[in-house]
Amino acid sequence: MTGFGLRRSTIAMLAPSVGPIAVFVLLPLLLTLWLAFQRWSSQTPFSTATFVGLDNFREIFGAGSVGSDFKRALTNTALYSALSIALILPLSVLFGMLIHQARPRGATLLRTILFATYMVPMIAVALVFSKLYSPTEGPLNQVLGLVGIGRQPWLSSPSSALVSLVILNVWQQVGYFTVLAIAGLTQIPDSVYEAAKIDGARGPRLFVSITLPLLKRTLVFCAVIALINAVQVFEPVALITQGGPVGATNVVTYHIRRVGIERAQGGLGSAMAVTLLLALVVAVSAVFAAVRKEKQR
Amino acid sequence: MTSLALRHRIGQVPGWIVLLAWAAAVALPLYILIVSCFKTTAEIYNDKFGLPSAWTFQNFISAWTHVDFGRYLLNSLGVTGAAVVFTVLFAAMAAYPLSRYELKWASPVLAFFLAGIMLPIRLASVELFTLMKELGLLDSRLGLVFVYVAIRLPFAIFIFANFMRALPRELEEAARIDGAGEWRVLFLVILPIVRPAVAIVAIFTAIAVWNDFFFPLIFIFDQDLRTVPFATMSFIGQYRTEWGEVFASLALSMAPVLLMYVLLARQIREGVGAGGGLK
Repeated sequence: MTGFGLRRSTIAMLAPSVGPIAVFVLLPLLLTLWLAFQRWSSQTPFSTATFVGLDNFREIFGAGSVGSDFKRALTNTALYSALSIALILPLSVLFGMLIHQARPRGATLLRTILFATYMVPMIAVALVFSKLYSPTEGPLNQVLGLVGIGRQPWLSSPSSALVSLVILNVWQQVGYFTVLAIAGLTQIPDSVYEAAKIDGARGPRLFVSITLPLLKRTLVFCAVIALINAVQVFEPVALITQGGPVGATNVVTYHIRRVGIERAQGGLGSAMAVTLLLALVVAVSAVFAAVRKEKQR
Repeated sequence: MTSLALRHRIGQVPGWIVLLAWAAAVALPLYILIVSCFKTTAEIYNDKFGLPSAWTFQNFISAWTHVDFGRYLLNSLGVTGAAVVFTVLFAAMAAYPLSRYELKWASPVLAFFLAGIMLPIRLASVELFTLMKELGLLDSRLGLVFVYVAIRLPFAIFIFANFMRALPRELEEAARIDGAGEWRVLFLVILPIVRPAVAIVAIFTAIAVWNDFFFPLIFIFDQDLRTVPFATMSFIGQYRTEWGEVFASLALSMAPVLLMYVLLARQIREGVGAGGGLK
């Protein structure tokens, strides 16, 4: 089975995948790790970088304007990610259960409509929402007016701009995660529910002691994917808000581009990326550790 | 209708109201996008909800002629087509030994591909930009294809491996006894059986690449090399924007994907279940 000819074909089969991933995904991230400890202008080749130890990290966490801008961006990304997950997960489980139980009549059509948002390119979503959110004559405020809620400032106020971008993200992603939730729900056998019903479990009790535990793997997967997507948010910020008003929507990916490309401070940008990467690793490990601990109990 | 069935129906009413409310929330922006294609810019500003006063295709015509839309469409088609072909081909090749042989070092290789999924590459966009510059791949459609293939491959490999793992061993053993080499086994025996995986990988790669705005923004500076979503940006002027044309060009760029979705909605949803739709 492991003759020489076989092994050579194995290497030839793996190389076209390993090569591009190593060069275009892994290498840039390794360069980021290295450059975080260097002074480097992104207008010059990598060879011009000089080692500066932890200076970049001292600066991005310092009291100066670089530090306060970055800390604001980090907070914005954390808030955006946390709010997105906190809305997307419960909504997709809710919609998933409703569609799953309503099978089959109308369910297919509903699924088709709900999932359609996934097909719409981010640029279209961003531009349409920028019109929807218009504070004076925007359709969203017109709809809210019909049910007696006053005008909201949406993107024009620092206090509501980030939440408005979260809503846009939820609008686009819930359909996708709903389909994932349905896939998880269909794997729970009906017999489990029937057994629980015989034991007298009803309604919310069924949900808490059967649905949620058996859906955990799906939920953890969804949370991790939603998190990885959310920390990379870029398009709506670049297309609609440019980080404003007054830095309220300046998220890390957008800030890194500003610092790293426009101001050419590649070392600082890399240190920011590494900080967010570390935060992401900690968050994902915490999710997995929590799940494992639960399992051991 | 028995009273029990009736009660069951009534019990479902709140659920239906929630779902219909969400369907309306999904439909409203899409409705606005579509009607705005037929409105003048003044109408878009004054009456966002209403139907256009006249259904004309003027916006589509001016969007098409104002910029070189046909050229952008060809760029998008070329980049998307190449990315899909290479992703399907390379992913199938990598998944075959990983799922059908008993390799001692399979798990480090799988970990490498898993890292490709989990690592947020956009955080390294400055380094990727400089790397592409040093490789001479800026302002190059080929450079875009390389990056898209590298990003889409890991998921494609896992999907192919999942499908291939489920096949019985006897399949390729019979072919090997007949003297077929490993490449023949892969392309003539295994690949035809995992056609659903080919469809899932192709569909999701096509959607992701076709809709992408991020990488052309970083890598493409030459007007002539722009892809469709990025080209839409050229309608947004610094002082004055013809919003009707913007929406028309968005609709034009979405048409192929939406058409595919209407035709293949079920396969696409099943692909999500298989893990195909991740960024």
